[in-house]
Amino acid sequence: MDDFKENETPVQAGPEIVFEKVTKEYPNGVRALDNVSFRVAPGEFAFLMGHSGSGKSSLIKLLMLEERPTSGRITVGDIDLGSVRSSGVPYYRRLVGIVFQDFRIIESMTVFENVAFALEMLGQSRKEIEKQVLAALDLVGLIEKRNEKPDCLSGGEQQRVAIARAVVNLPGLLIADEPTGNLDMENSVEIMKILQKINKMGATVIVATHEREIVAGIGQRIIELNHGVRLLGDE
Amino acid sequence: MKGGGAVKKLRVIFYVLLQSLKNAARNLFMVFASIIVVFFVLLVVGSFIEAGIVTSDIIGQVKERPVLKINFHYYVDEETAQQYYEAIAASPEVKQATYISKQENFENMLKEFEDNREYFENLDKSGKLKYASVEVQLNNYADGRAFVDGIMEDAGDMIDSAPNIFSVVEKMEKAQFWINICTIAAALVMTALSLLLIFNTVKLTVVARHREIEIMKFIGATNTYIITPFVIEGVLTGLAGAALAFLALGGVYNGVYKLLLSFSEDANIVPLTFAASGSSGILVFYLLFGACTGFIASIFAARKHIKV
Ligand SMILES: Nc1ncnc2c1ncn2[C@@H]1O[C@H](COP(=O)(O)OP(=O)(O)OP(=O)(O)O)[C@@H](O)[C@H]1O
Ligand SMILES: [Mg+2]
Repeated sequence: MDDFKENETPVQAGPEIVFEKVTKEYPNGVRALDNVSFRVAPGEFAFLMGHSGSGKSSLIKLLMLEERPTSGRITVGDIDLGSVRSSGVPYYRRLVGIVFQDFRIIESMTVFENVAFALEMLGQSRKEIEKQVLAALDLVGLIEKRNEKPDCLSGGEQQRVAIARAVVNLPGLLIADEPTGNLDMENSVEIMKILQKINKMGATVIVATHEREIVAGIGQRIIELNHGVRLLGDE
Repeated sequence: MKGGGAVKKLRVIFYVLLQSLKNAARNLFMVFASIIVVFFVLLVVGSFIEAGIVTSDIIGQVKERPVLKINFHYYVDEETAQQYYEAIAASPEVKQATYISKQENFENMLKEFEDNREYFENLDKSGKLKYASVEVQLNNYADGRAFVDGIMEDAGDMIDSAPNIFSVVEKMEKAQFWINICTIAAALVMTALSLLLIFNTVKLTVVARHREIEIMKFIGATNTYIITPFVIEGVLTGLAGAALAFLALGGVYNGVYKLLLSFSEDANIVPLTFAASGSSGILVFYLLFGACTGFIASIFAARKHIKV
């Protein structure tokens, strides 16, 4: 666990993220993003804000390569997402950690297994997997609960499992789509603290939310969307 | 990261294998149903194939040794019978003819009914159990039918019966045609059935694991990695059905073999043993069939539901 201490920057150096005139129009004609440009500096902590339907999740889907932009250019570090072919998408995603509002952890697996799951496909040894999983669980404060099943955990704890899974592979970029949407204030604050901790270790972190209270306590970079159009934000 | 590429690949393969076994374990009922269906499919198709092989082998044996037996009426005396035997022996179609006297025939019958010897000996007083025969082997199978017909025309009033294999072969050849049709029909219907069942089995597993699949996708699992456990599940199901079907086919065959052997004593035809009946080819066919149907069905089930 020693090799996952704060300030030691165990994550890959956070990449810079650049959106240039990005438009996303769905096949049904809905324009979720309209000519959006912004830049997130390497290792920055950025909030993606806007009311429901303003295009936050769409922007994240573009970042995850779940969707492709209708026009415009997105770069993550030195990767131009437009040049990533569909066969390359899985490899790109291994450089990005993602957390969702609904946790998306597997009920039939223990906490440990849920986190280890992300490493199995990389063919790492039991020992390596155990070391990394325990480090990630330590980061989110769930070492003691590693053998519990998710149904014994609170919502906040389940979200912490999801965060551990997202960072176990030490990605440089962590994206969270409404990570506190299903949580009470106390748990939300806890989750935000963990995300900040990961950011301090060097990762670029992007958090989509419409909860102003969450953002207020942190006072970081804010990218605000309104009907798919970027409203404000310091460049 | 440490560890050679090959070692990592091996670990991943091992993990994927484990996942497919876990999949199968969670879906035991459907897997079992699929195995049973593949089993029946192959058993039925294999039985038809074996029936075809054995039939054509028997036909071949008969054609190589075209034989018939002419049994005279009991009231035909030996002298007349022997005259007729000489006429037969002289005809050009005949390769070899053997005369069997009344007494020889009777001894043979007594041997066969050893237990009731006394009864037959008493019965013999009437003289109706004693008849002479001629055993004929022809040069060509093709002459057989006409030869039998000719004899019956010439001397039908003297001949009680002329048991011959030619009419049986004609029936067998007709049967062979239908066996082939049935084999093809059964193979088609049953293949569709196997595909459908394995498809559904794997689909159930995929649906049951759709959350995991979704998660795997966003943590960077490749399509191959996601699909492989399902494909392995399908292939293993097919192979299990195939292996069981082969064992059962062997059992059924040996049962039928004994039956055939007891029937074929008269004609001196030895049916093929299981090993000689092309069973190794059938084993290969079974395993290929099991693996291929499992592979195809599961690829479709997984592709359709994983939406790659
Ligand atoms: N797959 C899709 N096909 C068509 N339209 C879509 C699709 N996904 C999103 N949209 C539309 O795009 C717009 C933006 O949706 P998006 O989910 O990005 O908003 P959001 O800011 O994440 O909202 P929320 O806060 O409710 O999660 C909405 O009008 C939505 O209906
Ligand atoms: Mg959303």
